[in-house]
Amino acid sequence: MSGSSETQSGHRGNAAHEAGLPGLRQRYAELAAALPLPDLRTESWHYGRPDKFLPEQLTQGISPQASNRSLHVADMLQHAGPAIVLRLGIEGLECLQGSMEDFGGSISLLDEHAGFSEHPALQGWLESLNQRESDKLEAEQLSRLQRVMLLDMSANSEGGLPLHLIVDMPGAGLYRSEQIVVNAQSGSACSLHLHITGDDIEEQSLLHLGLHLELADNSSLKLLRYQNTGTHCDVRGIETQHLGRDARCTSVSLFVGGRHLRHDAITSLAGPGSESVLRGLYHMGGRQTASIFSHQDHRVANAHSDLLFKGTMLDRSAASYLGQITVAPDAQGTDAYQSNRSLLLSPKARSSSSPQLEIEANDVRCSHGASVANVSSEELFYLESRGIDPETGRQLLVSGFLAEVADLVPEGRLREYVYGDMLGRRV
Amino acid sequence: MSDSQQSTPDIINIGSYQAGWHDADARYSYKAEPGLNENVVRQMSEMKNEPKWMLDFRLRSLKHYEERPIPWWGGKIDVDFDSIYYYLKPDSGNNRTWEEVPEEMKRTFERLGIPEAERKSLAGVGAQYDSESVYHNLKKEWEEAGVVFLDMDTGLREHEDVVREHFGTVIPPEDNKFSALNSAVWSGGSFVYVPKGVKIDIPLQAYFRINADKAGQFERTLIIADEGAFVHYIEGCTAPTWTADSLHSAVVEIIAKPGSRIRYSTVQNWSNSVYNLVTKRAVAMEHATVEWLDGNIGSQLTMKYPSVMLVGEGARGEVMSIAYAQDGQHQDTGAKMIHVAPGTTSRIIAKSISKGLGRSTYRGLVRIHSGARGAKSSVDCDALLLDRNSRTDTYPYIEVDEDSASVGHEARVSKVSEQQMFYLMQRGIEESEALALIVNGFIEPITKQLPLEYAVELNRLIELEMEGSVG
Repeated sequence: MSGSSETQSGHRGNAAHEAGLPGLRQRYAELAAALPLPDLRTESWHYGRPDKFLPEQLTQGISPQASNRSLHVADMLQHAGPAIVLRLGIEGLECLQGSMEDFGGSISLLDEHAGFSEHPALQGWLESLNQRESDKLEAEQLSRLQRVMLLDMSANSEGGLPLHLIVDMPGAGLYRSEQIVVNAQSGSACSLHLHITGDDIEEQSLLHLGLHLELADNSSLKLLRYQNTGTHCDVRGIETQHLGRDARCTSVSLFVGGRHLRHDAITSLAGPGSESVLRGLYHMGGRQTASIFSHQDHRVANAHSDLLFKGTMLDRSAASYLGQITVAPDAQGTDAYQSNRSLLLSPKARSSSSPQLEIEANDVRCSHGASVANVSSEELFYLESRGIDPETGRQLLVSGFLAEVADLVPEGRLREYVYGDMLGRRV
Repeated sequence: MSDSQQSTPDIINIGSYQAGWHDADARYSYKAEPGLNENVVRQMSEMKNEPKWMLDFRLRSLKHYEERPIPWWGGKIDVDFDSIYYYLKPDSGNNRTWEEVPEEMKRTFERLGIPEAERKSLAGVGAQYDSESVYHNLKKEWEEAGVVFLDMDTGLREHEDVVREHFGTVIPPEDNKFSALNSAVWSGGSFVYVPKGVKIDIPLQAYFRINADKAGQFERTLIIADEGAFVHYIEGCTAPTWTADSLHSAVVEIIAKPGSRIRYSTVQNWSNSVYNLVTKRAVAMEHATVEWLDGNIGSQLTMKYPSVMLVGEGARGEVMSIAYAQDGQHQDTGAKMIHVAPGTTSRIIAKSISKGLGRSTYRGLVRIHSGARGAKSSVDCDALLLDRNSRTDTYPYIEVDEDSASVGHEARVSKVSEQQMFYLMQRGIEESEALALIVNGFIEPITKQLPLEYAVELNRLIELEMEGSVG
């Protein structure tokens, strides 16, 4: 409840183990073994299912069969205009559309055999991922890391075409752990779309997906994460951002479907003038659970962060949100905002929200807000008085609620696809 | 502003009141050994001639207290519990008339700001000198209406049935470590009972203070408003300054029966060595209203979260609080609203000011249980940071299991606006006065709810605290 236990700032680079993946795995395995599993009293797991994110009963691997949803996404993207589409599959990176040369940046897939020595900074970044040393599941995730995808944006490069990356659920009874690192060198700009897909299955399928965004001075990155998975699909995603001077990051995450979801968004504003915009939307039904954690860590002066996470809860779904803004004593001139809005659409749905502030500098503008409610009866009445039946009115109001985040998806086929998915689910 | 400062010598008195002082010659007829064990509890209960059920209650609480760890969250609690005196009994006993109160204690009360003249206009004055109430008086008309306003020990003797029925029902000893401690060694506090339909139009007041070095104060207050009744209860706390740490751990239980309204106001100004760890909770039944008005100016660490359990349809709860944290102080305060019944509403307004190295924390909970149809709650937190190194935290918790409920929470953190300062100063107001004006304006929505004398006192206190904060 102190709020500070989860935010101990990580130390960068502290290699007691051998370099490369095997050393990292060992380091994190030791840490994971020493930590207890969080229970439901742990505030950020309020309605969550921490036990579902441990792959104890599962086999590590990826089904050779691509999911129908990922095929649909690939197909939709083909018709959506020029882009580079990659799939991170069993054999590595497959290029489904366009070519890497169009892209300009360099992409490499590093496993234990690939030389981390070519990317000396990578080791330090991966070691710094474990910011919250109390998080067993995060340590578990990193201790089972199979490979690392490094996306290197060269200095002052313009990304050009958007890059789409499809990551499929591993399949029934399977578990996969991936880490993606984006290294945006100074002055570079790019946009990355991440599609996490999976079909309805009968057995648990678990994906651990880490995404680290290293943004050097003056770089900018637009990230869109669209997660649309089927029943029995559990996903733990950890997104970490490290922003240099005047770097700018916009991250939009949409979650539809699946079973248990845990998402962490941690942004470190480490360069003055940096700006991070975070948007999230979780549209839930059935017995889904979501636990969302966010941390806006203002370490230096004059940085800006703005977060909005919205959730809609149908049926017996439950969501918990824990957000933190920390402002270090030297981070004068900070401007930080945090907001969590939930729409409870069924009598059995549950929601908890805890937006927290820890502020140690005085020349700051910090505010947060949280609200939990059903669709407003007044708004519904307004629509009814204009001849719109209650059911349609409700749909309208819910889609209006979703639109604030969903409209950040670039206009066109992709946005239509996203809306189709979301509104296809009963409201 | 400057006129009022120059022309009010009271400010100086208030300054000494704020800093506190110590009656070196106060006489104690009984002072238990420091530290806490079963013997101390048994002895205390025996000396008070308590019924067996109360002794059992105390022992059960003691057991729980010993087993329960200190909370891991909140402020840093660094108290040597073994060096605290858990029970002190001043030798003046219980007095009916002001004249019978010993001279030295009268002096104390006068310096606390209860002049005799003012006393007469008050419905009743109960003052707690260390652990037992030494003075209690209630205007005759209220006594005739059946209003009971006694210290808790007398209340237990004279109204055992009522006390037994309600005591520990709102805050059981098992609630937390400090409610268990209070339940084991409680002494003094107020017992208020307002019968059906009686509306007391002037506030009931009680003053509490810690006097002896290392004297714990564990007062226990129980307020019951029967159907349709109204009462405004005011409690003020002051404490002399001394070097050793001291502990104040009160329990306040409020029961608002259907249709009643209870307002509880308190301004706490403990000296900066006191740990103020109190549990305050109310139960509001059908269409009852409970309002907490809470000012926290003093103490080293305050952990206080007045709560309202809204168990009856249409019940309403309200908390308005001000926290002021200076160097070395941590005000960890907030509020809890538990909505159980349909149509319940609640509002929390919390304002905090951090100065120097002071730290103020808002920690609150709004919980809407399934079935509390149409429940509504709004929370508003404002924090003002005066210095570069001041700190503020906000930890709100919102838990909703009911889809027809609506809950909102907003919080803002800012420093004193340079524009406002400039505006005031270019009209010839000095910087420190301008700052005091802005700060008083910041807390005004809450101070204006207080009775006049409290509001004035609070404003002056803040002004005094602001002195020397600029330039």
